[in-house]
Amino acid sequence: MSQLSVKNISKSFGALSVIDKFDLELNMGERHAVIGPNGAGKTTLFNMISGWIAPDTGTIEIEGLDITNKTPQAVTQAGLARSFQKNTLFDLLTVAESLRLAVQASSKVRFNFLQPARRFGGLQQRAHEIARQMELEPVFHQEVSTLSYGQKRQLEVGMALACSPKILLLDEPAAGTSHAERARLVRLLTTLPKDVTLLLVEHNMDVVFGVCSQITVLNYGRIVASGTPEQVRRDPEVRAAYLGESASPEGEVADA
Amino acid sequence: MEHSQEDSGQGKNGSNVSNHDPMQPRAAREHKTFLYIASAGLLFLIAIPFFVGEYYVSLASEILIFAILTSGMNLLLGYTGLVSLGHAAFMGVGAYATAVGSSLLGYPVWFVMLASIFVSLLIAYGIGLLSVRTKAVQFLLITLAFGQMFHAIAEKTRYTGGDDGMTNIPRIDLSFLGLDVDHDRVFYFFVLICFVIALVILRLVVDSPFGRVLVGIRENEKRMLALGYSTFPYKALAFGISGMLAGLAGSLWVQHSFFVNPHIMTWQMSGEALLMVIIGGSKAFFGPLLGAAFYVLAKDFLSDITEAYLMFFGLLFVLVVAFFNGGIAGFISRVFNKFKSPSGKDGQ
Repeated sequence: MSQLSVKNISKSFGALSVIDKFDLELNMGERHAVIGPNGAGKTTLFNMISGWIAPDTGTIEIEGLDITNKTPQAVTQAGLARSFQKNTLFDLLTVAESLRLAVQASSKVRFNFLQPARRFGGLQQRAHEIARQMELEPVFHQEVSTLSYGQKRQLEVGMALACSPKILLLDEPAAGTSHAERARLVRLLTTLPKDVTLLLVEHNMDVVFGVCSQITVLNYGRIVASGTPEQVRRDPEVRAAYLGESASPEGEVADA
Repeated sequence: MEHSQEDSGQGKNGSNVSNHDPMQPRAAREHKTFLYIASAGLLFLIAIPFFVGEYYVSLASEILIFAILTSGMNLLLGYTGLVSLGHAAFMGVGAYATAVGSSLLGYPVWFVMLASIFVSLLIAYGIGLLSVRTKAVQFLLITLAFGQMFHAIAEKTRYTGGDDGMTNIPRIDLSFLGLDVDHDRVFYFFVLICFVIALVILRLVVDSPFGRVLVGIRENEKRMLALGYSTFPYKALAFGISGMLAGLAGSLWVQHSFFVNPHIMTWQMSGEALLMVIIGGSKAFFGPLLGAAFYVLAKDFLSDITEAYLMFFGLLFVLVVAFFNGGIAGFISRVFNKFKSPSGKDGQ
């Protein structure tokens, strides 16, 4: 049984069909990217899988558990955590406090309301572990608003990772990063625990080819191609529609 | 919530006091400061009745009672980011429950007080369950509507004297300790004890994992949902605790003034309490206390001079919001930090 199974989901906004009969099967530990031009429906797809939008038809299952019409918080509790394309962070908290909150979400103490939070050392330890993993240790006790943009992107991923998910959805983790920041992110993403399944939406081909072993190409809400990076790179339809003739690594594409 | 993404610009809180020592957790450092301030403040509050006249002792009681109300409100406003315009209703529930229980039904006041607190907790929690599903303006309006409803009920109820309210409400009986609470100094210490208990509970709450969740909701509720928190029960319980403290304030208020009328439940009352919180500083634990003190003293001073004291408050409020981000508490901590490190070397 695959770990994440998306079957035949569709979504229309009015007359506009954004996702049309989309299927996806992810095995445990798989690194999978969904790519496609702007407006291809990637973000809508992500929002459906993570519970923010209900699909019109189709089912989504995590290890056989139907999560199709669950709330975002229920989906996360079922083991699928996501990050956001736009930084969605706690600006006035420190990195430590943010990660603690993330770790606390899946612990039993979250509704404890009379003992000081700082007593729960286990949470702090786990938060610290995540910070080290995401190379945020030097800024661990700094307020999030004082971080650099690249560090905020690292934290964005770290927050999702701190939920200890089985499946991690990253919505354009490298959006808006500089070349150096991107290289660091790619390195961090490749060192994620092997048993975490990764689903990535990304525009930047450095990131996609650097991190993922499976790629699904989306255009106008439909799957255009799917397979290994090599197969996708060679696919004539993809070359024409998306990668451009040169298949440059900076493959940003105009709106569809 | 939307703007927390856009606003994340470096400058906004760049001068924030909280990044001195990168190797130290902020919470631990702040807790230390909190203990210093709390102990010094408590000594000061204990000393007051020994140095000022009856009149000012009575004003001090008033300040502490309002501080219980406003500190409770701040659990919603400052910690959770919810602006309620209906908290006077819970103060009124506590006040009327105490008045009815002691003066009409003849139960002992200590028992009536506990019952009032419990009743306000239940009612506030119930209303919280209905209100916290909404956000921002809708939340403000729904709490306002509930508040007006309670006010109307109090006005129309003959049993509690309608618009005139009730008089001759007794204070708690402490004669078994040989104390006469009709003396304002004695009553002040009783209020002080209630105040300390209320603020200890509140501090425990904001310091707990539950309290951290509330702050997370304030900072970014979308992220909290994505992390797997069902934010709704947290907000409802915060609303309940906040209403419970308002109820305690109401119960003390009727004992302080020996009477109650529906005015205590008007939305103006809620509004004044909000002003106290914001003038005092909603980001600081003791901000609402400072705000209540400032408000009560300034009102006392200004109303001697002019009937239009609210006009000055309006002006003051505008000034605080426009120039004193963080209210009185924010101003004090800025001055203090400047004093502590004149070279500015601790800006991270």
